[in-house]
Amino acid sequence: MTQAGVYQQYKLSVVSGGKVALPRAANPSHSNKSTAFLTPDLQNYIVPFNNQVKIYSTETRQCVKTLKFSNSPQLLEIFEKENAQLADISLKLSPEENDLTLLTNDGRIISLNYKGKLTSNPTILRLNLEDGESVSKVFENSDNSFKLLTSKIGSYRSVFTYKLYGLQIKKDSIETNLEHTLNDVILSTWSNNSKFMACLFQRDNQRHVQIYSIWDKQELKEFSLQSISAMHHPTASQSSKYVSSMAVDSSGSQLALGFASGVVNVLNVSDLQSRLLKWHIDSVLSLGFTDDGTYLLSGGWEKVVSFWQLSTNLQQFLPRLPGIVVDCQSLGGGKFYSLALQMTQNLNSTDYQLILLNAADLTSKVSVNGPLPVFNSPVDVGAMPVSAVSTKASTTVSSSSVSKKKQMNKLRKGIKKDFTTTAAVNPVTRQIFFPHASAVQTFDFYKNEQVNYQYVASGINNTMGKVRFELNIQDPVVLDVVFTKDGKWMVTYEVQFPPENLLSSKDLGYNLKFWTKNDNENDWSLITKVIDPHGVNIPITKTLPVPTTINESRGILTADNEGGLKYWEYDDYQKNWCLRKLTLPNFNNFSNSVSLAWSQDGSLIFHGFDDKLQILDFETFKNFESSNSDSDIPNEFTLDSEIQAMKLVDDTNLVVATRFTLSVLDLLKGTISNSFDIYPFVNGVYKNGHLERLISCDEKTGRIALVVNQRLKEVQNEENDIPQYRARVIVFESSLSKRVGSFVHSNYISWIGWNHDTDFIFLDINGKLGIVGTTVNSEMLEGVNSEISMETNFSSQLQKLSQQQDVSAAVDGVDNEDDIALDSINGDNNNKVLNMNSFVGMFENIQNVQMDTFFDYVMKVVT
Amino acid sequence: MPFIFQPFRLSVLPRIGALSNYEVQSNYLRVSSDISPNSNKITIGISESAISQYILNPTPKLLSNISIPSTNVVSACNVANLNDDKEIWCYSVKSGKSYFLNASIKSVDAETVLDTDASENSDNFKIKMDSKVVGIEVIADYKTIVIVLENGLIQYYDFRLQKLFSLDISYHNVKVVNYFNENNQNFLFVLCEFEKKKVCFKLFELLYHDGKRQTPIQELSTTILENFNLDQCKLCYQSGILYQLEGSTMKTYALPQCRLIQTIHLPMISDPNSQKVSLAPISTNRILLTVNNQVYLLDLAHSSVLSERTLTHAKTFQLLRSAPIRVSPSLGSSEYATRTLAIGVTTKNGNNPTSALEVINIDVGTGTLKDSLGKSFQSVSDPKTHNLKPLFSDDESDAGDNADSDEVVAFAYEDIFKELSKNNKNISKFDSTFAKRLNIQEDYYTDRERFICDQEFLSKVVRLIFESFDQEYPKALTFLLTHPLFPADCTKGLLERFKNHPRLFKQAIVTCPNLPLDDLLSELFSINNGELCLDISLRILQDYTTDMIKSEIKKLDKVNVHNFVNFMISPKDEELIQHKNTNQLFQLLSLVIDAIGLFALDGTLLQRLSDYIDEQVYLAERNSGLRNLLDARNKNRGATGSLAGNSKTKEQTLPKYTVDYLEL
Repeated sequence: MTQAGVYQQYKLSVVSGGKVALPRAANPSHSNKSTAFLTPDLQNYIVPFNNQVKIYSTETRQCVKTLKFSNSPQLLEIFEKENAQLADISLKLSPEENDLTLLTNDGRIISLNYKGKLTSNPTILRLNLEDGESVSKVFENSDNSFKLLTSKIGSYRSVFTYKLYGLQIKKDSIETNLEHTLNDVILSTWSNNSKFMACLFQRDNQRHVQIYSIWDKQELKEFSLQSISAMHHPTASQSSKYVSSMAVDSSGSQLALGFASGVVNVLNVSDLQSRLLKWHIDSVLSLGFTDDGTYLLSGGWEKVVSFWQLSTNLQQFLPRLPGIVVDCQSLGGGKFYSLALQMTQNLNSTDYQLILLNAADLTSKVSVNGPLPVFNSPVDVGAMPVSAVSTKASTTVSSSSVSKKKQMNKLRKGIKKDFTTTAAVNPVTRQIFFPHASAVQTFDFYKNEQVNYQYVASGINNTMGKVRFELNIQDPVVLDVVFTKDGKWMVTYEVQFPPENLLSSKDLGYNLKFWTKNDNENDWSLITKVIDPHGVNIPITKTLPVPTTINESRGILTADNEGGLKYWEYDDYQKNWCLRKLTLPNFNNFSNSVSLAWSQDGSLIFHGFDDKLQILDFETFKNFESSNSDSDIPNEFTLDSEIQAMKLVDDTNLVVATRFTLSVLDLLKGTISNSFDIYPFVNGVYKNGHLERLISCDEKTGRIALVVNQRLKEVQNEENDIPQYRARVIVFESSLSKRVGSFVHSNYISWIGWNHDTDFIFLDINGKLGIVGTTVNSEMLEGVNSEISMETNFSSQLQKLSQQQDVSAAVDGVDNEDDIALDSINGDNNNKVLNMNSFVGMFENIQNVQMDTFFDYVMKVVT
Repeated sequence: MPFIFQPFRLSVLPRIGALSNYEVQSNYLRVSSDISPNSNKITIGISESAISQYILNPTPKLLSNISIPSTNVVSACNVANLNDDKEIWCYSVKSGKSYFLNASIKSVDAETVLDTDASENSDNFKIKMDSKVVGIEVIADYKTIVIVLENGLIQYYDFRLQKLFSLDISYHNVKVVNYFNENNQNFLFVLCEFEKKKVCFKLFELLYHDGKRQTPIQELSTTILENFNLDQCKLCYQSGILYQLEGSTMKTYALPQCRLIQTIHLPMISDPNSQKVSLAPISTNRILLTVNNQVYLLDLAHSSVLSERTLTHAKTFQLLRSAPIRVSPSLGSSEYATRTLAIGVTTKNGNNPTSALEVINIDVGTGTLKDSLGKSFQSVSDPKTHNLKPLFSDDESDAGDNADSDEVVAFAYEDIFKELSKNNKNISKFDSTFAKRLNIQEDYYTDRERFICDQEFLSKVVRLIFESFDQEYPKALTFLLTHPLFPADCTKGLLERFKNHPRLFKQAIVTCPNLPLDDLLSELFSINNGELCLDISLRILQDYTTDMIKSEIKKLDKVNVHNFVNFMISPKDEELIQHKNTNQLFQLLSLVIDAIGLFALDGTLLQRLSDYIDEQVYLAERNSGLRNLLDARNKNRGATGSLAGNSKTKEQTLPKYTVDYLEL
């Protein structure tokens, strides 16, 4: 409104976020899933993301360098447009020092300098691969020779054909020659020093293990799995035969097989002597030998890493990791352990976290992850780890391939998909808070790092892993996070699930929790917890913080699905949050299309319920009734369809989105204007109330950002392709009268929010964070006005001016201080001294001043 | 709630021509700025007559008076309370071509109701000035009188009119002076015209004390305003905002830099040349505006008329001074904290006009959106018709898998309505025009018809149908009844009108939005058809909250309620009721009983009601018992309750135990 003269323009850029990539996790035949590795000097830990490569310092635990794919047009082309996946990273493959080589699954080899700027064009080479063949791993030897491992889906979905090539890179060309082929591989692993590879494969309906020496190009040993488990009981369960992970040590003399039943079998390769290590009670998901082969690391559903001293069978544990352990390796000559954790509590996308541990004291050196949103429905064909029993969070021995196919089909078929998620931006710290199962993740958009991860609801997941049937126990889930406008209070809303198969199983419990935090603390502390805030079995459908004008903004409003509203506020006397006002659930029907808006001065509440918009007077907490009843607007509007979202943009305009239209309601005139047809983009796509996640309002300028997700038609040529999406962000002026900007993002956007400054932040389904922001184009104005325009309060502006003047007066007034009052009695002011501040006032209103006025002005100051 | 009260008379002014001349009366009547929202005294310098002080409560009357010669024109007047029950009156007069400043210190004696000549027991001082005094402000805390002269001098005097200090602001022709106090600091701004339509704004801080030493004055900001017609406009200042009314345009400037931030057109000033306009600040963002004998309380932040009043006994009313309330727009303030007063002068009609000082009490309201809701003074009637716009322009809307994204249609509602009006005699013609022009394919509203969204148009068509047709209605009406935006202003009496058209009656009940509750209830209580009764009750429960239903039932007469209760418990329609869900009817019955009270029913009815309910309770108990039996066998009821997204029902049950062999 008051931005006249300042030229603003919005821009879209994807700058932050991203997910930790475990390139080999998608391929079930790889035991070694992680590609993160240490530089030879052990200073840096290089972690691939789906949109960047980040380099962390092991000393400071900070991210020291980020190679964003989007900063290089070529990389952008490869990873964004052509959807190539990163397969492996190598430091040695390129002859140049400080060069990092990225291998993609479709056979591109990209070398780029990782210490300098990403301005230098990366060199890109391309391998000739068969159709369907994808790069898995590059092995390096100390004499700078390389081998390349590729895999291809075999005769059926869960087996793969492996090919090992010798790889030679000369200036601009690559030479490969096939050295070894193995069909029907079920599971594979390789040693830490890249010397040996062990594969479990299928031949004549029998499972065999082959240990292959990579550089000697020869099979070291091959034996049937049956032979080592001959003593198996014939009636043994499926899971006790299913090998869920493997590891081979650096000398090729020991092989560890982990079974779905939880048993680890360590084989002496030479004589096939085996011994069993029993501690796990569900599938062993990862195994790894230390470099010298004296220790074995194992991890699984328990969220515990177990260290086995092989000489004594003694065990040591590293418990309570944030996720189940899907990969554990020893790195850096045994100085570090690298763990890959999967947070299986999120069923709708695969969330990984990488942890680098110091081997000496097992303290965490670096932990790496991206933002952790929980989408409304599954966004990717995530690999759920194998468990002894089948649950939503896992696959079983028998159902592993089926469930994946099912999920794939589901993704393909749904034309209209609701992948939205919810998040909140703290108005003060500007950090983004994502509800993640029973926890809340704090992510700093600007630092591009997770700041904190705190469990806010109590469940099993918080303290330990769940195994077997415990996987069926549903932990509480945080559905919403809201901040008060002063950023000091966090409100979380969670749902609790009673145990299954009881009569009460459907009676969900709801909790509303109020948290606060001191600046120097990391975790939020719980102040008030309200059980079933709106009554038993009644969910909260919408939460809204109060405007700053009420109770120092320490209050929130909650709405349920029957039309009830409750107002909670912090009571200084009780030191607690209390229910202050309520309207009973008055409607006789239910609806999840509930939206709320609050006028900035706090006097009116707008409550959208189904297709009705009611106006409530906050003071009486009843329907608004006007003093003089003639010619007034009604306190209730009926709109064309269910109201999905409402935003009060300024004192007069209420933007209302229904299933059909996006329009603006002028509250002073009581008329609806500027309607847009959003029916084709919204109807049937989002669940009731979820459209609100895709509309955001800049409360300072009143601008509205709307996200429209579209599924692309032409891209989906192959049957196996996952549908491609595109999103548009449209920014409107406050009354929707003008479109300020329209931007395209190449993926589905699941949330957009205002960063409490000038920008909108959005999140797409790949976990990438982007920004739609303004660039203020007024360099000259900035210098003078910055202080003044920040202050909107008149009296504080006056105060400031008064003090400024005083300072300048004090500077020039030192000498003649004593008799200043007497001197000026005669009508001329001695006080007037030219200094640097004399002309400042002129520039404050310079835009529309004519030349002669300006001259006059100068003269007045000088004379 | 914002409200303008009826004004009351303070005093009739002497019959001096200038005092009844609207153009000059504000220059001849100078009200001291010491009034506050709850002050009981008002001091007015009445030119050619006297400086008079009035008391407002309990009865408005003259309290004390200083007479001045009949040639003297008061140009400024200020009164301040001193310690030890003394008051200083300071005023300036123009006598012929010379200017004088007067100060008079007198004791305030509550006992003496009136001393006609105050000069007897007071100290009087008088000095001659070089130029016209434009503003006087007595700052009692600093024992200083601040005088602003028209020739651009700001002078300080003590109470004995000894000059303390003088500053030349280097502009002549000072027209407007306004003193204000912010955070106990004293400020002053002046507006000086130095060229045609060019005005200099200067803001000063007075008597600034930083703890060590006192600075008499310092200039905080200077701004040159262009196109600022000082002679033609009315100004008023209010907590950091300067309002300038020129013609019917209100410009808002924000201090301290005097930046123009808003320009609004005031439609109540239709003819600025002949209408007598005045304005006064009253509270944050709110001003009082008078146009002839109309008084408006305006909220300029929301552009709304909060309250208005016509003074029928006078021809014009001019505001002289008001006591602005300083409240931030927050809630919880008590009712009286929003009351303030303004003083003005009314002038009567006639050949020999008389004028009187009148005080008007005002409740300024809270200044929130609540007060302004729906009261905008900006033109409501938007000539543009309301059409849906496409979200994307043509060149953007390519690709994307939105199969059902059909073209956005814009209708020429005016033309369509004209064509419909022509065909208002023939039903079939009317229908075909309606369907063709609006592109309607079905008899009822579907997603495709979402483009017909102009409520104004819909309302006009419905009215046209009602006017033109009586016995038989066109099909278009059926369509309109299914439209979710069926105009609310047409629903009143709709059901009554459809009494003889059962199809339309039913249609209206089932689909027509915004049916008034009292209509529905009166239909519900008078109707004999069980099916319709059920429909209506469903409708009521769906559209209205229980509170609204209860309060509405209370307004109905007893007979109707009896009818309804009778209907509920009489067995004649039981068959029908049993077929459908009777939940709603029970809910309504309980609402009815809640609303009227059980004992409003007579004995026999009460007895029957009780029997009926007993019977239903027995049935309910039996059913519940039966259900528990079933429940035990079939646990997986397909009940509701699913968590966002993963609502996959799990058929699998927990096995009692499993056998896993560990290899040993």
